[in-house]
Amino acid sequence: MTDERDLDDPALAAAWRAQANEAPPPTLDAAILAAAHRAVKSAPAKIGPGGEATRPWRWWMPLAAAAAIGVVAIGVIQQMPPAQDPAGAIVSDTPPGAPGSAPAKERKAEAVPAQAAPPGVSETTPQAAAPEPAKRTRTETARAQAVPQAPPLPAQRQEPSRPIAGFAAEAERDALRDAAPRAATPEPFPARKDAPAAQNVAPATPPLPPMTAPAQRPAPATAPDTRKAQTADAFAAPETAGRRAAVPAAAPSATAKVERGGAGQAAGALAVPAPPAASADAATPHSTDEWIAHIRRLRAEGDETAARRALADFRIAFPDADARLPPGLQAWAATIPR
Amino acid sequence: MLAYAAGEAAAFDALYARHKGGVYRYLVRHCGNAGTADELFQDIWMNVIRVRATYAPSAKFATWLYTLAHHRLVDHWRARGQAVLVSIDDDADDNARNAVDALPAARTDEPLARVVNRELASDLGAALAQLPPLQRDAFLLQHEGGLSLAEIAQLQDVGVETVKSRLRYAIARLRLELAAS
Repeated sequence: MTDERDLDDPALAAAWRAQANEAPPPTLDAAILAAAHRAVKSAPAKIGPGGEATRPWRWWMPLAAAAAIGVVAIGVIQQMPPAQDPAGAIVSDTPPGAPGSAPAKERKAEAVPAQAAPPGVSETTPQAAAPEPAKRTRTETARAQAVPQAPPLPAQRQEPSRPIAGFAAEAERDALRDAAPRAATPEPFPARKDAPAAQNVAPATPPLPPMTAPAQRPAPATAPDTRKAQTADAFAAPETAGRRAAVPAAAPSATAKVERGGAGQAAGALAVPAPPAASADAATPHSTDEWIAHIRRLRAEGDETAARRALADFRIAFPDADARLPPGLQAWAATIPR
Repeated sequence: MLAYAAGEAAAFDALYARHKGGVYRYLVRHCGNAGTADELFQDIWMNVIRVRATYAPSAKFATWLYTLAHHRLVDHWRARGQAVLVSIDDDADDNARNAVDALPAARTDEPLARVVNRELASDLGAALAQLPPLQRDAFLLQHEGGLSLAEIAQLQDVGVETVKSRLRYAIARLRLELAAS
C-alpha cells in the first residue's frame, strides 16, 4: 500500500509548474479556433442567443424584398398609359375615306338578318348618298350599339326590350334615328350647338312608335296593337313626308342604312320623325377622341365660346378630361376654369 | 462543452484557453518532439470539435479531454512501433520494485523545496523523459491535467493502487534526478 502523502510533493509540483511553460504555437491556436468557429457556423443555427449574429440579416430581408416589389410595381403602373374610355377604345376614328373600316364591316355583318325585309325603300329615299359617309354612319351606329355601357346623356332615351322578331326593325330604326340629323349636317358634330335645346325638348317628346309597319308586313305576335296604329299614323302623316323630303341629298348614312336594313322596314323607319334628343345624342361626342376633335374643330372655326362649352361638357362626361386632352389642348384647357 | 455543442463558439474558446497548455505539455513530455506534439495536439482538438454533438458529460471535461489525448498518444506509439508500455505492476523485476520501495517519502522541508529554480525545472523535464511511459503518463495526467487517482486509473484502465505505485515510482525517480542535479 502506497502512502498518498508520497504522491503529494509540493516541492516537486512547484518545480514542475516552474518549468511548465510550453504552449502551442500561435498558428496552431488560430487554426484550431478557426476550425471550431467554422464548425459551429456551418451547423444549423438555433433560435436564441446562438443566432444573434444572423438575426439582423434575416430581419431586413423580407422588408427589402417587399420594398423592391413595391418599387417595381409603382414603376410599372407609371409606365402604363392612362385608362381609355371603353367607347373610345372600340370606336374607330378612321377617316371616312379610310378603306376597309373594321366596324363598318362588322356592322354590315350584323345587318344580314335584316336584309330579308321587302325592298323598295331605296326608291323613297334620296339616292345621292356617297359610299364613304355611309360607312362612317355605320361605324358610329355600330359604336352606339357595341358600347351600351357608355354614359347616357341627358336626352338619351332608354328603349324597352323588344321581342326578337322585331330586332331587325329596331336596329333599322336606331340607325335612321342616328342618321336623320346627321344627314342634314354632314359634319361630324353638327348638332353640338343645338344640343342643349334638343336635350331640353327631349323629355317632352313622346316615345318612339315601333318601326314595324303592320300594313306592309305581319307584325310580331307580341307587338301591341296600339303601337301598330301609331306607326300607321306616322306613316301617313304629311309632316313625316315633309321631313323625309327635307332630308338633303347629301344624307348618305340614311340611305346606306335604308339599303342595309331593307326597304320595307326602312320605309316605316323613315316615316318616324327623329326626335331632337336623338339628334343631340348622335351629335354628342362619346369618346375622348371625338371630344378632342370636336373641341379642335370649334376652335378652328373661331367659336371660342362653343369650344369652352364643349370643354365643359367634356369635363362633365369625363372627370379626367384635362388629362385626356393632348398637350396643345391641355395648355388651352388650363386657362379655362372648371 | 455543452454550450459549444449548442453552437456557442465562445465556449470553445474558453475551454481551449483553459486546457491547451496542459494538453500540449502532456504531449510534448511524452513525445519529446514539438512537431509531433503539434500534430497530435491538433488532432486531439479537431476530434473534440468533431465529436461535440455526441459529447455526454459523464465525467469532467478534463478527464474526457485527456482520455482523448491518451488514446491518441497510444495510437501514435503503436503506429510508430514504439508502444513499449511497461508497467511496474507487471514487471517481474524485483529490483525495480525494491528500488521503488526504497525511495524516501516526500517531505516539504527537504532541500528540494528550497533549491527549485529554473535550472532544476529544466532538469526536471529531462528526468521526466527518462521515466517509463506509463509512470510518466500518470505523472503528467496528475500534474498537467489535474486528474485524480481514480480518474487516472479509469483512463489507464488499471486500479487505483496501480496508479499510486506508478506515481510514487515516478516521483521518486524525479527526486533522485533533481537531487543529483
